[in-house]
Amino acid sequence: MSEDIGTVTIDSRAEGDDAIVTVAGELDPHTAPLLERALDDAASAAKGNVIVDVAGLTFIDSSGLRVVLGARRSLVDQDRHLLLRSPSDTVQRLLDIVGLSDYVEIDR
Amino acid sequence: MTSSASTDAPVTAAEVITLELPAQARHLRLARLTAAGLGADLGFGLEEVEDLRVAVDEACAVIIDGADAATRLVLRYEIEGPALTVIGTCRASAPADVHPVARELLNVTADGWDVSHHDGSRAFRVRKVAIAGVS
Repeated sequence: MSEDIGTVTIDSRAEGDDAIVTVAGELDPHTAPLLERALDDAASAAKGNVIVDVAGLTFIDSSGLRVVLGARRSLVDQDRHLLLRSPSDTVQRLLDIVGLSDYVEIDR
Repeated sequence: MTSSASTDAPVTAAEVITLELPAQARHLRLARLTAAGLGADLGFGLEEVEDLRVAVDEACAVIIDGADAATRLVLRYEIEGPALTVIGTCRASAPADVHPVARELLNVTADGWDVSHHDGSRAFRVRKVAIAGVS
């Protein structure tokens, strides 16, 4: 599945029991709801964990960070995990600033 | 977009660029792009430009939250020496609510910021100073 609304592109696929959600571009209040839907759909479709590949993410603000935090919270409630894969230094720094890197598993 | 800035002249005295756009989230990118371009012109480092993008985005998002389709967001970018101050205004009947995550990001990415509400308008001010330009 792939969605694109101009400044962000989101692709989802299954990998075994896990779901891989690849997000590229910019996450702001306009585009973050798209990621929220994609993560909800991925969590519903997969039995395992949700891996969010953010290597192509060039911008994220509090709206995007809150979506990640919300998805992580609902997965943890089901004894599942949300893992962020390949954040750029910029994204990693923002995760650190808001303390998200203490809660979300990150695969650099 | 109107500008009093010359493209080639060095940035010295206060220069002002005004950007007016619909107060809708899909246009926040323009606010970020303008901030990033001006920050680069001022000699901001990469991290400072990224900080500026985040701070301006967060502040804009705060004051346009809940705005109707006809509302306009007016942004004033003021350049003075190594500092860029961005002032945003938007008509709104209620004060803005700053989410704790947004507040955290603003505290770290801006050198100073505030959000206010007066006479039926929300406003913000974000200030960023280029480290290299501070003596």
